[in-house]
Amino acid sequence: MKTLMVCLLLGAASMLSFKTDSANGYEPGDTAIDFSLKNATDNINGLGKNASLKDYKDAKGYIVVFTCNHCPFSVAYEDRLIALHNKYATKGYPLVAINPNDIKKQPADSYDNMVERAKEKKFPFAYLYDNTQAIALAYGAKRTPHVFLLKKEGAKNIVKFTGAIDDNSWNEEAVKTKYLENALDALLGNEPIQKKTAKAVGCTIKWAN
Amino acid sequence: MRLLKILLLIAVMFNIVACQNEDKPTEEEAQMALPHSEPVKTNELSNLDLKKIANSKGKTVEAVTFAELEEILENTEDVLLVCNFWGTYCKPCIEEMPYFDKLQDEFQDKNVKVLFVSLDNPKARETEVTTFVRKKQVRSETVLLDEKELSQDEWIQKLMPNWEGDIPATIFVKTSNDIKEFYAGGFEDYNQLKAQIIPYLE
Repeated sequence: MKTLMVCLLLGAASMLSFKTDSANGYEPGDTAIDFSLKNATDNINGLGKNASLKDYKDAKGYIVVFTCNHCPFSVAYEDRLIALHNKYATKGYPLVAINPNDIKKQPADSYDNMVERAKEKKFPFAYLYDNTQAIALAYGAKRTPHVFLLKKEGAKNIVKFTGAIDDNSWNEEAVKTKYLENALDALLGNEPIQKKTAKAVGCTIKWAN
Repeated sequence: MRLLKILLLIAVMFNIVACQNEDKPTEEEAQMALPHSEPVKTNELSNLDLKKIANSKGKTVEAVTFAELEEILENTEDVLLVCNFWGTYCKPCIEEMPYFDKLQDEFQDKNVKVLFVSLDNPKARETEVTTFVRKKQVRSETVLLDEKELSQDEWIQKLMPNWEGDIPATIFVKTSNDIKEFYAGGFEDYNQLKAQIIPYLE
């Protein structure tokens, strides 16, 4: 009888458990890896050349954004990404965009299409292609857009903030809280970051099978 | 029973909007028409059951706030509510939608109900989202989440703290049995989705 009770309890507990397939990615405080990925813009080393975080010699840190061409949330944020780079690159935090999508599943996100979109929008930042998806996996990017704000500390890049850019994907004018900018301003002012992670709806990353 | 009431309310709203669209009245006319059409609709809908209002074909997709969605999710009672978050732009979401429609067809006598919650831009609700639902002949109830009070960060945290906000995502809820299970990602095929709900039906 006791065994039965335990089984029932375990069963009930498993029913209540929330299942996700999230392999845990970076959280604030973790050390992020560098990468070497093909660039779809001529910012940094030139079009078609690989770019790495270490190539930004004067950077104090980086705004790494997993994004892509096709996702409407990514498109909705394109102009905001440009503005963020223009505002913070000169302060030591350049934006580095990475497209992690499998092009078999989402042909619109091919390297050639990245080049085209970057030209159309005159991206002032590097737009890199994570063709093996290894970087998105290592960082634990779950959706596009998905931000990882890094700060250089000695030889390491420490994650300071993860998640959403602000609190309104569809309507920039209705934004009340700019999570990423608040975190950046706190870093630049040597103040503690109040909100280190924020969520938003986004497109799931298209993983290769 | 509360779930039924809410769904009925949604159905009433659907019908009103659908009627308005057919006649294409001006906004003023539509407002004037509302009080008169309400009692008639209530009578017509009084015999509705879950099965009938589960059909969203041809209707305008209605907006719900997060509080309204939460109300539905917290009071499903003995209905196994399969609540799927999707968007018209989301390829894997669109691919799995027919599995959910089929699930509802196959298990409707087992009290299984599917609710599609669109996370599209609220501006696209009456246009792209409704057009999509009609064109694809989506049969399960479809609503669009239009939340103005809470930020996405706040409502995602309230709904499922371990969800990152990537879609597709599905919640299986049956409040009478304390079932509330979250499934991140898409279903490969119908059988995978079906296998997911079997344990909840016992």
